[in-house]
Amino acid sequence: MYGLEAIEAANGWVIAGVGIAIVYTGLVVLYAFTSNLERILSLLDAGSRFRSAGKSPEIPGPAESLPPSEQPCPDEEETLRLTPQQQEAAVYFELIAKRLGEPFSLPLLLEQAEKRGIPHPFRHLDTFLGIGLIEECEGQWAGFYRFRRDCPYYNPDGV
Amino acid sequence: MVPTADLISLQFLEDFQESYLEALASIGAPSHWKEGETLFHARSPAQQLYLLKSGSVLLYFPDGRALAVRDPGQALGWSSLVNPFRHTATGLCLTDVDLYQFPREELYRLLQMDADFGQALMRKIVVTMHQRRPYHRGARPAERERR
Repeated sequence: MYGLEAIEAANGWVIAGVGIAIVYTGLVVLYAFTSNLERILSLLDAGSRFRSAGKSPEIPGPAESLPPSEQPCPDEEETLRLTPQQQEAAVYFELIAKRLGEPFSLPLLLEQAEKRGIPHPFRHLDTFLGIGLIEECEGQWAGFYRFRRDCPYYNPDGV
Repeated sequence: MVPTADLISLQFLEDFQESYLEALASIGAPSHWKEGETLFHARSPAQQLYLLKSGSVLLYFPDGRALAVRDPGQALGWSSLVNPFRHTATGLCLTDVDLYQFPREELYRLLQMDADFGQALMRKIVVTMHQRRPYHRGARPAERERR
């Protein structure tokens, strides 16, 4: 017995169908896992933060109303700090700022952050401007910015 | 259409008469923009005047200067009312942003109908232009060399 007859006799069609189903199911599961990986990691991070809530100080709020140049960096005694994701992004932003040279242009900073795949660079930039980690220069350099490594919010060693 | 009560609280319109606010409310529309979206590009035709309801917008100029607009009530797209009616900067949403937008043609219709309203509005536009003037000077020499 040969050809299609042999395939049918040995349940070949069913076996092929099951094989295809297994492969595609695996691919769908893999797709679902990788597309939600960021959420899963965020949940794990949130869980670990929740467990250490007693020790962990508050996360800084959203943008303040004053422009960055008028916002003083908070006292070192203050216990506010950035989330681990924000700290990580801040480290990348600092590296990019160093590479661009100070004072730097915000659109260039964002362009480089996007190229390097930093998640949510716009939102992070807004936060960093709000807390004064990225500060606007004055005078003829108005509209250009510098990275304030001495800002107490910034803790690159904690990343 | 925007509720007039929503406009009263906006810094840009703080000393506007109620009749002016009603007129603006009748031509305004709320709009929502996502983080990373571009509101408008520098040198593109300016068709709308925007007032910030919430969120944060980065305005960046062709020479690389930038400022973040984050106070509710601040105006964006003033170029829609000033010759040559082209944006001087690119508006980029740093966060999710809610705006009130007012079409240029409708604004002009209101300006033509009521000179006092026109004067009040243009006075505000001039203040905004003056505040942003340091940001759209010519490119500094080092920046030109870098290009």
